[in-house]
Amino acid sequence: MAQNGSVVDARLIDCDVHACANGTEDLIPYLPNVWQRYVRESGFAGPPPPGASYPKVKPLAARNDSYPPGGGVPGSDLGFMQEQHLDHWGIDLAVATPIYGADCLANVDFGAALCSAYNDYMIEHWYDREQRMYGSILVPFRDPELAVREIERVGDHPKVVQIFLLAYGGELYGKRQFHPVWKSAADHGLALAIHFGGPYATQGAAPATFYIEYHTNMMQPMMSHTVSLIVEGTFAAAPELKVVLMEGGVAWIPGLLWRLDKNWRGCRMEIPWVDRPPSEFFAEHFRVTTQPSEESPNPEHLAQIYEMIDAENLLLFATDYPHWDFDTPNRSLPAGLSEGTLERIFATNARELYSFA
Amino acid sequence: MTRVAVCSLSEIADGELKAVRTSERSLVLFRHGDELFALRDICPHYGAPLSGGVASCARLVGGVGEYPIDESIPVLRCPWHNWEFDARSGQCHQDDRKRVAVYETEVVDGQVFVTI
Repeated sequence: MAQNGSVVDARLIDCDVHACANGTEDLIPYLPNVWQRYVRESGFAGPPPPGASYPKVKPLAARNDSYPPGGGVPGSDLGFMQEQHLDHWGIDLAVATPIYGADCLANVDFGAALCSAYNDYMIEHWYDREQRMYGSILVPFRDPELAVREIERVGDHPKVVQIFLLAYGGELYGKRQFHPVWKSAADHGLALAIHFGGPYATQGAAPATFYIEYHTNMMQPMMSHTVSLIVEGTFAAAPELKVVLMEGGVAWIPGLLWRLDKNWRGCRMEIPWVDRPPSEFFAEHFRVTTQPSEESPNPEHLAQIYEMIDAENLLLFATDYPHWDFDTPNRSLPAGLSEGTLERIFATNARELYSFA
Repeated sequence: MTRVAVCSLSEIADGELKAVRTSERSLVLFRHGDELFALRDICPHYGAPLSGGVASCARLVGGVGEYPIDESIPVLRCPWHNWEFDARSGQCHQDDRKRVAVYETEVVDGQVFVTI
């Protein structure tokens, strides 16, 4: 392992690390005066946490041992994360995925101010301080003009590599009104990351009862966004865009793409801008993080799925630190993968996607 | 090869399909303006009779929100799964590996002949 932040030598890249601010209090100095007053005078404590209706099996869905000794929420202390995660596992580069639902707030002006504040906080406290840490930015996607403005404001920061959305954001991200946002991201060399969670959880049919349903069905919004992004013509509007699906698993991918290709043959008069089988768009434009990895009773079956999805070129290794369902580099991938495949999943695919090379 | 009389031209309206049968096989005729096409009446996908489908034209690739068509290209759309075939070549639009056999047609004194 390089362990020095060298992008060229990186052998282990963690593409889902939940570095974060402690909460809205940390953001206040980064807000314009009017919104500082608004926070204080309205008693705003923060956007609803993702999946708020589903108490997690652990507080904040965090590992019990991930609370910084000096206080603060898991993922908020750089020094502790360096010791417990980056150094411990020999992670050469990490991509921060801060979960803070400012982009999902109904008040888009307030949400845009919070997104900017969060981005500025992360740049100052994480991306500029830890050489190994690259990052995501939040954008107020509900208002495409404001979202593009935020991308133009911070999207060229050398440590910013993607815009970050929650999968349950209440919208299907292929919709045409979002194309200018994704195009702007691609023009700035940023990927579009869609991470599980968000305030509008439906589990496909209707809101579920238990956290186990919420967690087991993580693939459902990923499936919907995948189909939406392809059939709505996102990649005709933004040909350079790359999409990263985070925390949706991988085993669903073959079946969905088989169905989508089959239906494209029969329904393509609806979507003449999709000029080739949708699975080809998926292979070209999508990347998928590994965590939480599926565990098959017969490991060979998972290995077969890896072959079906061209895992060697599709997957990005991710731990999801500090959450309770995190994966480790040494235990989470199916046995029997070749050295070449492991090298690509652990580092090369991320290097190519985020232009680390 | 055998030249077979299959029906009268007046039995097929412009833009319509007609199933005909020779002693050897089932065919679908497709009248498209002044042109008349004959194809084997079996979809290579699930085996549906193409004569029960739709006589249409080519849908072209378009930008988002655009739906260009080319009415000069006759396209036969299967009644079951909407697979489309260029009536001139039999080539499937959805799958390069799929093709329907096409046969030469000739109209003499109002009679349609197909060469099998």
